[in-house]
Amino acid sequence: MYSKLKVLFIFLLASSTLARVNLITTTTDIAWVANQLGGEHVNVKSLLNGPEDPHYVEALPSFIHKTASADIFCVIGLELESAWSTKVLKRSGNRKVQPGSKGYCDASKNVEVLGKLETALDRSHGDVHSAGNPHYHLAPSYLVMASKEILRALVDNDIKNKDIYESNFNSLSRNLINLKQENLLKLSQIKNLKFMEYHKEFTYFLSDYKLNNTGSVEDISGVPPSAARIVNVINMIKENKISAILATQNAPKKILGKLVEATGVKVIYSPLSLEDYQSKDAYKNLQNNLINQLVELK
Amino acid sequence: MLKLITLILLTTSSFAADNGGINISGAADMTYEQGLNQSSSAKENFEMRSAELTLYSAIDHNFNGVISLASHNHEGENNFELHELYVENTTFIPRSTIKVGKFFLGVGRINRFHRHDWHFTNTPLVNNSFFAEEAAFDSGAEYNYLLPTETILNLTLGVTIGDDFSHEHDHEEEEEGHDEENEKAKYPTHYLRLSHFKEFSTTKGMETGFNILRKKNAHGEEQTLLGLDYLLKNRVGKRNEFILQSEVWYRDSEEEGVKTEELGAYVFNEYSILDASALGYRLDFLKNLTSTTEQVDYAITGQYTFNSSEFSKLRASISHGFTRSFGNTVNKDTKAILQLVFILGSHPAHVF
Repeated sequence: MYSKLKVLFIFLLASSTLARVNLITTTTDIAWVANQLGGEHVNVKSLLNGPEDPHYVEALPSFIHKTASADIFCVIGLELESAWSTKVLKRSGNRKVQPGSKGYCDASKNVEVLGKLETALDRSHGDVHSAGNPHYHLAPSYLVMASKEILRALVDNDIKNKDIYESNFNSLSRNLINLKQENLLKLSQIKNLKFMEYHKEFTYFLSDYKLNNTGSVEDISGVPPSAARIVNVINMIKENKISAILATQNAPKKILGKLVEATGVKVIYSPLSLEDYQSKDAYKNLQNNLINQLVELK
Repeated sequence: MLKLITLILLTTSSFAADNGGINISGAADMTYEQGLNQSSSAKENFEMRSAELTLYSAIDHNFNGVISLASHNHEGENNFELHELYVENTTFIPRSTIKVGKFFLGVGRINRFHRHDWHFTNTPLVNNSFFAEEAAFDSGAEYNYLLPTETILNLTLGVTIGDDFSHEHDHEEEEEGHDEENEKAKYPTHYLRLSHFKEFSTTKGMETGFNILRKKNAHGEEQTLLGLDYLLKNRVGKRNEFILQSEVWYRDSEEEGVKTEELGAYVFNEYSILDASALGYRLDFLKNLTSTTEQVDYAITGQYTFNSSEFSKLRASISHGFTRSFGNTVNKDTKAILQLVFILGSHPAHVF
């Protein structure tokens, strides 16, 4: 009898020790950050896999199902996923992760936002994010800023592992800043080149690496450029001697092909988000892929 | 009603500095129908089919509120009426949503969505006959529970007062002189929907719902409806690359000892073409199983949709409906329809 009780006690103790924080993120990039901060104490799942365009995703019942049992729910923020994440949160019936509660985490909270609109724009300007450009995660310094809110959520929800999370945050910050410094050295060879971006998904990246950003191919955000805009962009590329256009895999290749044909400009493609957020090196690999393509331009 | 809308808009603008996060959304739906054969029922008129104004927001830390007013064209006049007015809680019971007020009943597929959000212009024969031209809505309470299972199952249970199944009915009542006491349902309408969702990828999924609804109206007509709804959809970026949607309904009615059984269904399929366009078709079927005339109604519709953005669309369709009885075609109705839909204000939710 005594031995059975001992086994039960050990089992209960083990279960409570192994109880991990369930953290759901909208995109893979912040899932990767959460994995780096939480390690074995956090069970991280991203609702998206990486290749999707996070603006236009639908609130699938499977997203609601995953969110219903989450302890923490993290969003990129700045209205990037608000069209579907708000619905997911509401329908999950999970009070722990509703906005305002300690399980809700808006990773943009501490980000020094670029592209914040001073004046309100209407929809004739396309898919504008009035709160600012939400595509900060490709820039290491900005990802460190975003990590602070994920750290806050982890500490608030699992205080007993506070030291571990804080130590992991310090380590992550150091690694990201070191990565940036290494890349800055590599990019010093091309610092005089000029770049454009198809959609404003590389604004933070170009700013963080101190590269010249001449503007975006899109005139109206989220709307493919008209024939007149394409002509304007061709002139801009020629006049400003643009070396490359940065684009994600979701950008229309046909339009970019026309620009290449007319000007000989190079197009550098990159996934918008990580596709293997469980891997420790995923972010470094994504950065290296971009940096290596840029360095080849010299 | 117009006074009420003016008051709401004025109140909203007066409190613009501290509006409590209120969202305002307006939706417009215009159609033009042209008959293409002599017996066509086409209105041959440019019709402002509906204008809908929706206000929604958190009421406080516990409740959300929705007020939706819609103007429908009824014999040339646009009358505003209350479409939805409900209070909702998503935090009292884990994995649950509780709704109390007036709302579209949570059964089937299209009945749960506003008409301007449908993937086609006209109501399928079966929904028009069993529910209403737009949707069945009523006042009552609805409970939604996401089951804590590995498989994604969602249960919806609803009870409504049963004497206001659709707004078309309201207009008739107004004209005839509505007697509220005599229009009370014999028992509350009650319904259940159990749905299953299968995710194939983060953009592609399949939902199947089983539905049962029972009601008994003021005239003693008792109805039991059994239905299956199905949706397979792949949405990549802004485009629905592929949609396969269907509903099958069986209705058993009994009034003064006379029993009627009816069966109806539709299948809708759409493919995305080019950047912002889609081509689709819908097949409709409706049969009275107890009729001695062996009458069956069919309809086939082909459509082209141009989505300027997620806030506006232009749709052109050609529909051919016909009735067969004893192997003969007894009625034909061919028409072309042009529809323009746009949405103003708050961003609509992206729902599967």
